[in-house]
Amino acid sequence: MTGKSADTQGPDEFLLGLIRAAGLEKTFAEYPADVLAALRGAAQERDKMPAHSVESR
Amino acid sequence: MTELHWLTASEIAAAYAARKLSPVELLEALLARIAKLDPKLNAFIRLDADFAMDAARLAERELFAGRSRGRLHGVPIGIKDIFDVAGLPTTCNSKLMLDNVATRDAHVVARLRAAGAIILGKLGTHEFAIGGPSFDLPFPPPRNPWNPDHHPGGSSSGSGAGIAAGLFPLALGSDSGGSVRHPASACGITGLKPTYGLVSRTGVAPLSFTVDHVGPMARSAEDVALLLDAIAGHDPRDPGSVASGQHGFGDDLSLDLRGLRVGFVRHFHEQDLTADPEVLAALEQVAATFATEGATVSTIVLPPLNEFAGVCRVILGSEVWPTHAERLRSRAGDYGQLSRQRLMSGAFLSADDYLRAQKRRSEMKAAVDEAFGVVDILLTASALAPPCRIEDAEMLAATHQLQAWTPFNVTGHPAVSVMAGVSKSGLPLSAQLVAPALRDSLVLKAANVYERSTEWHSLRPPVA
Repeated sequence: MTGKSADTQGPDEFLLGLIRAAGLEKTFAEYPADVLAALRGAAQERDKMPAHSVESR
Repeated sequence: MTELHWLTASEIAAAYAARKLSPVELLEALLARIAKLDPKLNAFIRLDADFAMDAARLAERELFAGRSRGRLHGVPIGIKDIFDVAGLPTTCNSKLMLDNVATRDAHVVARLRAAGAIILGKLGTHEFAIGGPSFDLPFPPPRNPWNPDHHPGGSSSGSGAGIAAGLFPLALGSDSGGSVRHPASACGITGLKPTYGLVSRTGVAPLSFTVDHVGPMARSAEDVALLLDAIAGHDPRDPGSVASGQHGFGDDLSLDLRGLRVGFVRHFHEQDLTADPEVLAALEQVAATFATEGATVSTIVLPPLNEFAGVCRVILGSEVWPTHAERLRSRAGDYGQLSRQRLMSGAFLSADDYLRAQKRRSEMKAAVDEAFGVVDILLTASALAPPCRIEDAEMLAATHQLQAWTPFNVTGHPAVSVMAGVSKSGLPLSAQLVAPALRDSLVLKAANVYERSTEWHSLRPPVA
């Protein structure tokens, strides 16, 4: 997910798929900017974590 | 005697014991001050003056009949409006919860009642302790007593603003990413995020069950310890509660700093994020104060601050999403915009994200525990900048993450924010002290000794 297309041209199919999977189609129709902000927020926080193997001990 | 509204809880208890003050007399003075100042501070969502007066009269009868329930007997306290108080709505400052009248007290509120504390009412908060400060909520955001144009910190905003303004000496807050320590920092008071599990969260609206903490707030470490004594203790109804057996936090707050090993975590505010120069100078002064008092101050390196923040928010976002998912799908318009955005981020986090965050969390906790093998307490930044103007949304967003609170929500270690100076613009500066898990008494002793060495905490805001 780049988020770039969402910022400039509206969400791409991948992002719409995430929104549908979360059951947020209605919310997206009413508050598109907020849903996209939430998507970006999740990506930003995820990216702050280092790549890491859950299996390592 | 000090003006009644500036008395600390400890001083109030002593005055009651000496029959120099009565609970009704004190409450009347505080209600008058609330009537005068709260219209511009908005600390209260709901003031329950009649109920408080009934409780004050009862406390007066009991105390003067020699039946003291302890040092909080007859002491007024404010409660953040995400805690259940039987008979009152727990609104969480949300349109969704305005009719949510509590049928029983939160565990900590019940403990406070048993201790004889006087519940004044419900205090301002970000919506669900996450969305704010915001002007699209049922109740207006509290204002900072040091300058009402500025943010008092959040989400326990009313707790911080009311204590700093002398509306009440004590308050309860909650802290899932700094929500006790931020208002403590911004309002120039003392706020503790206790060890995870030391204080029950039963009856408190949840955000994230592995990072939520209930915390005491006051104008001094001594009063914070007194309040912690009343609320700490095992609660089998809270799955995160620990049976630590700790008590007596306020019994003896003396600490000989000679030989105390202080680990100064400089990289949080010098490298990971850049602190405001005045904050940086204040932190160096705190370190110098500890050194002057005989402590050994050395530099300690922990995992990067941004990584802590990411882990905290991935865990919080994942854990809070199920609580709000249905309402965000069907009634999103009933949330304020900030809550809507922040709560929905959890919808876009995966099980893989959550498990990676929890795995990294255990490593981070181990890293902090390892640091406590070579030092006794940690000194870090609290807020990395003085509070900004509350109506400047751009600045609020820019400064939202300029803080060093999330590391200890991630690790669960006890962390206290103390006042450490005043900026040139007249706003409080702060520092954070951290101790090993279940050494809450140590971090409060260190905070108490620091406060007595500098007396920043005794300054009062101009709104007074």
